[in-house]
Amino acid sequence: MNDILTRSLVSSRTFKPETLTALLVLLGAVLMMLAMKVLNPGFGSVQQIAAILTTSIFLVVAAYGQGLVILLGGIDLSIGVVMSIAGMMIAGLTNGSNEALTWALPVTLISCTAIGLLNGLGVAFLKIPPFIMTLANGTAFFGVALGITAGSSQRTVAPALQVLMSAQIGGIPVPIVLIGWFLVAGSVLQSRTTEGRKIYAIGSSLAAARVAGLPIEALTIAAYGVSGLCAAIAGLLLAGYSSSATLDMGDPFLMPTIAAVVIGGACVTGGRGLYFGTFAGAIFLSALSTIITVLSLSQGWRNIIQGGIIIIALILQTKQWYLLSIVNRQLPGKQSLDGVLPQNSEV
Amino acid sequence: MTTFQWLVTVAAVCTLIAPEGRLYAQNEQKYKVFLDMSYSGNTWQAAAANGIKALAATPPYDKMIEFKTIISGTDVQRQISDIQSMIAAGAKAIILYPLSPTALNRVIHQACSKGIVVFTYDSTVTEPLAYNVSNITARYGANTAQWMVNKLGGKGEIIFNHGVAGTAVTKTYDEQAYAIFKKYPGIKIVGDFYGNWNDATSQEEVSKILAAHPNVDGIWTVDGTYGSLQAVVQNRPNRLVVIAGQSNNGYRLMMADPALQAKGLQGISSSAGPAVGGYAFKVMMEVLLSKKKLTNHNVEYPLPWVEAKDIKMCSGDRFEGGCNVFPEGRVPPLFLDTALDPKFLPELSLDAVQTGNPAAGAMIQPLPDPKYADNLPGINCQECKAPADALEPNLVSPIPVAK
Repeated sequence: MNDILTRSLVSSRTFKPETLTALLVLLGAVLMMLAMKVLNPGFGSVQQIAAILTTSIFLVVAAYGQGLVILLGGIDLSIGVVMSIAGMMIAGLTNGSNEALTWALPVTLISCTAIGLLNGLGVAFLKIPPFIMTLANGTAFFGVALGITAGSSQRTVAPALQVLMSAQIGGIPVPIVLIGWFLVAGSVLQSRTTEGRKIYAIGSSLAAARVAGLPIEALTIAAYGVSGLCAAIAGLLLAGYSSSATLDMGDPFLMPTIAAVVIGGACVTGGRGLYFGTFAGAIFLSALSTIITVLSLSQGWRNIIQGGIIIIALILQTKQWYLLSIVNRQLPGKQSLDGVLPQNSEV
Repeated sequence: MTTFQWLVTVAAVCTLIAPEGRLYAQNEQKYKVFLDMSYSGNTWQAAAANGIKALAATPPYDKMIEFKTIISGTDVQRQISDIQSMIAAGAKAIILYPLSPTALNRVIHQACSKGIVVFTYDSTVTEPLAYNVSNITARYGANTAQWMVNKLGGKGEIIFNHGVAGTAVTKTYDEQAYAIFKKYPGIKIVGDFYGNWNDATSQEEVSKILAAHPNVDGIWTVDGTYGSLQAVVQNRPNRLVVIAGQSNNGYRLMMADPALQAKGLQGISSSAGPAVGGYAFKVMMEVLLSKKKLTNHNVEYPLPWVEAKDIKMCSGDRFEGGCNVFPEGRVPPLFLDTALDPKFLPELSLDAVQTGNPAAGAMIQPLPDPKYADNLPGINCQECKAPADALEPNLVSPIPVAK
C-alpha cells in the first residue's frame, strides 16, 4: 500500500531535469580545467587532474549526507564539527597503530553516527528547526571534544589510513576509486531504493507523506544518522590525507557541502535533487577553488565568487523550469526536451 | 527524598562549599591574575595557554597569585565584556591574546587607569598604557622571504600561503615578504591562497597548485607548513622544495631527514612560537612584583630561527643541551616545538605545555633584560613611525639581484 502511494507521489522517470543540471555543472568543471590548461600549458596530465580529484573526496562524501538531509527539507550544520571529531577520534584512538584500527574505526563511525541520530531525534520528535538543532548539537559536541583534547593536535593517524589516501590500484589513486564506488552506492541508495524514494516523497510534501502513512520520523532520524556517518567517513579520510588531526580541520567543509548540493540542482526546500548533482557540485567547487587559487585572487574576491556562485545557482534553479519551458516552446523539434520538463504536480 | 538522601545531599553541598570558603579567605592577600585567551580549539593557542597556566602554578607564583583563565572565543565584543568583568572582579594583572589591535583600547585604558597591569601576547594592541610582548616586529616576513630567495638563487616559482585574511599578522608579514620577492624578477609567485594557519587546508591547496604548476620550487608559509610540505611529498616525492614556516615537530623532523634533503628539501623553522605566552607572563609578573621596570611598552620576543643544520634530537622531555626536536611518536607531528624555550622558560617541560600542569621541582627563574620592539603604526602604537628599513630582513643578508 505504502509503495503504491509512494510511486504515485514521486514519478520514476529515468532522465530528470536534475540530471541535465548535473551534466551542465560537470561541463562547467571541465571548462574550468580547460581554462587552466590555457593559463598554464604545463597543466593537464592525468596525475595532476587526479590530485585535484583526490582533494574533492572529502566534499563528495560529506555532501552526500547534506544532500539527503536537504532532500528532506532540513539542513545539517554539524557536518564540520563531526568531521573534526571523527579525525580527532581516529587519530587519538589509533595513535599511529594499525592494529587499533579494527576497533577504533567502528567506534569512531558509530559515535559520529550517533551525533547525527541525535540531530534526527531532535528534529523528528522535538520538532526543533533543523538548523538550530544541528548547530546547537554540533556546538555542544565540539565543546565535549575541546574538553577532552584541550584543543591540542592528536598523534599520528594509523598508517593504513594514510596509505589508503596515497595508494593506487592499477594506476588509479585509491581515493578516486572510492569516489566512484561512493557515487554508485549513494545514487542507488538515494534514488533506487524504496526508502530513498520515500525521502523524496517526504521532502516534496510532508502533508501528503503523512496521509500516505510514510514513516516520517524514522526516515528523518535515519537521514541525519547517515549525514553523521558520511561526515565521519569524510573526517577519517581527511585525517588519513593530512596524517594528523586538529579540532578545526572540518570547519572549512560545512559551507561547501551546502553549496555542492545547491549547485548540483537540488531544491533547498526539499523533495528534489540527485546525488549525481551533488557530486557534480562538489567536483565543480574543487575545480573552482583550484582556478581561484591559481589565479591568485585576493580573499575578498574568493568570497565574492564563492558566495555569488551559490546565489546564481539558486536563481538558475528557480528560473530553470521557466526557461526550459520557453526553450521547449521555441525549439522546432519539440519532443527533444519533453523528457526534461517537469511532470510532477507539485513543481 | 528520604532523610538519608537529604543528609547525603547536605553533606555533599557542604564539602563543595567548605574548601571554597577557605580558599577565598586565604586568597585575600593574593594577586588576582587573569588569562584572557582567544579561541581554545587550536594547537597554537592551547600550547600558549598551557605554558602560562603551568608557570602560574610554578613556585613561588603558585602561592602568590590567584589565577583564572577566561576564554573569550573569537568575538571581540565578548573579550571587551570579559575584561570589564575582570576589572570588576578586582584583577591586579591581565594577560590576554587580543582579538583586535584597536577595538580593545578603551577597555584596556580603563583597566590600566585603575592600576591593573595589562599585557598582551603574540598579538598586539595600540593602547599606549598596555604592554605588548610579541615577535610581530621581528620581521618574520622579510627574513624568511630573503632566506628563501637566497636558497633559490634569486629565481624560481613559489607558492604563497597566506595566514588568516584580515589579521594584523597576515597583513604585516605578507607586506614584508611581497616586498622581498618583488625585488627579484626571477621569483614568480604562481599561486597563493589563505591557508588559515590550518595544515589540512594548506595541504589541499598546495596539491591543487602543484597540479596546475608542476615546477614549483618553493613555498612560503606562516603556518600550515607541515601540511604544505606533505602535499609536495605526496604529489612530487622525488623533487621537494625550499620552504619557510612554522616549528611543528613533524616538519622539523622532515627538514633534518637526509633522505628528503637529498631530494631538494631545504627548510627554515621560524614563525610565532607559543612560548611567547609564557614569556609575556613572566615579564608581566616581574613588572607586577616591581622586580622589573620597563622603559618601553613594546617588548620583542626573539624570532625562532632554526635551520636544518641546527636541528638536534632530544632524549628527555625538555630542550636541554641545545636539542630542539622530539623523536617521532613522542609528540604529535603538529606539536609546536616553539612551545618550549630553554633560554627564557627553563621551568617548562613537555608535559607542562601539553597539560598546563607545572613541571615537578621547577622554580621560576628570573628573566634577562628584555629587548624592546620597533614601532609599527596601527600594530603596537598609534601616532608613531615605523623604522625606515621595516621591510628589510635583519637576520639574513640579501643576495644581489641578477641583472
